[in-house]
Amino acid sequence: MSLRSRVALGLVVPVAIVVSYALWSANAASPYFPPLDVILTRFRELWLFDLVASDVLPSLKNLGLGLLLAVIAGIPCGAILGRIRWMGEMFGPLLDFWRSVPPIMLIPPLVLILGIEDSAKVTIIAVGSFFPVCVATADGMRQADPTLVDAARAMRLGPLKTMVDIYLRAGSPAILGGIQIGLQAAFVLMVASEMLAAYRGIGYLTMQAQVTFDSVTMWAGTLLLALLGFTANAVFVAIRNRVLSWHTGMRVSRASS
Amino acid sequence: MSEATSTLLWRPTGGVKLRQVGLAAAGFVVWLGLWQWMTTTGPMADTDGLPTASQTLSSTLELAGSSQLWSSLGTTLWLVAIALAFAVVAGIAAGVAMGFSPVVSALLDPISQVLRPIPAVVWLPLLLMVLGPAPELGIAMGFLGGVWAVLVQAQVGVRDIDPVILETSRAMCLPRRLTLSTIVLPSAVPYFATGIRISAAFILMLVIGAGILGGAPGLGQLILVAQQTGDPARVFGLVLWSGLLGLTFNSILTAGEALLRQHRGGR
Repeated sequence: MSLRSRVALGLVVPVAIVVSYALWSANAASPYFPPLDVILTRFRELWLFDLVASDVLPSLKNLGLGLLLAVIAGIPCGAILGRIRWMGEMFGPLLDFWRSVPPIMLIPPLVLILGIEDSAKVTIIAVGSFFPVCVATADGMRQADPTLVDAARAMRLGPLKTMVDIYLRAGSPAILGGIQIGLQAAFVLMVASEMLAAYRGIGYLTMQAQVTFDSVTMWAGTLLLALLGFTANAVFVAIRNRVLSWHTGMRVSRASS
Repeated sequence: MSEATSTLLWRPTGGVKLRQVGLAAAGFVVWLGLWQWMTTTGPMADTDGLPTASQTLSSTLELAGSSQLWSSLGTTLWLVAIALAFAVVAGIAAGVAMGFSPVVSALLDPISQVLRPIPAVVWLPLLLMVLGPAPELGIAMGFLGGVWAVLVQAQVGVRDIDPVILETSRAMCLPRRLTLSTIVLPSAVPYFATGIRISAAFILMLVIGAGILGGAPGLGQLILVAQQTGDPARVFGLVLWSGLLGLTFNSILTAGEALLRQHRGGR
């Protein structure tokens, strides 16, 4: 199939959805489904760029800070659990247990202890995204090539250098996969914690609009959240591919040789 | 959505040994001991909203005897089952069609690429407005979060079929319907199983999430009420129950998937 027909076919469904929604909402006058142009106008009024500094940037800062803390804590913890056998056997099951708690379930207890300030949000995000990073790192330790490990030992590489150059490097695809899941968890927790208990933020405004039956603002907020969710993932995938280009390159050269 | 979302870290090799069970138990004891010390004499004593480990454990046991917990767990699992059924049917139908036909793939792949990375929680206010705090809210959220894993795995499963087999079936003039039912679907079954396992974990999370954020019935609603009435021991007890539920749920699904793969020649 040519590229042109692929693009044409790919546009069919989105265009059909947008056109049918526009036609239907223009006539139906349903309070839940306002016309498209009204939603877009509200989107521009709210998010370009009136509330960006007060409600969007603080949320994103919490997201970035929380995820950063999770990565800083998760990689060493995962490395310890993955490399030191008795530690892994002792705390692996505990970690499995905590990882099985749905992340959103962590919000009510942490809100009770920490309240609804920004620091509480950062903690919630950090705790929820810690588990995927830690588990992926522990798992990634198993990816190290035994020959390289032996070589490192023969060359008397120090433990720290062996860790960084052999284990973490071999585990980096797994670790980045874990950070990607962590980012998804962090985004969910950012939005959910704002929906549940906050005084500002996109999640808060969108949920507040829903409660007060302001469907136009609700739609505009949903649109922004969807855009942010998509963009966050796309940016991460781009960074990951760049960081891992050595790994992909190695796999390709291996496959072709 | 990688593998790491629901497989377990703890994978004892060569049978479970006493040493491993002992160490695992010791891990839990260390955690509870540390918690108890922190909240009674340690630096976090008398923190508002933070129960001690013993308070939490007694509330966890107390919950085991309450019919409210069991009926909430039942509701949650029932909603998960319905959402999973929808996600599996829709995901497999769309995924197989996309893997099988380049036209369907060109038609649906772009929109799936755009919608898949968007966390389902984003749609909650919209669904809450339309559906209200009803069981349907949990089902819809679960479906939106879970359908993608099945779809992607079904797509990959169909594309991974040995092309020689497909060409043989074409050479023997097997009708498309028969090719689908005797070759494509059976060989993609292990992929469906993986998709269902990953999807079910997402759905459980979102059904509970719909309860916490939107008041849909089930475990999530129970913890929301406990939080609003300010009962920390009960909130923490429910968190422990949700961990237990998630762990059991994932273990059963992982075991089921392994069994199916083994049965089908260990692919």
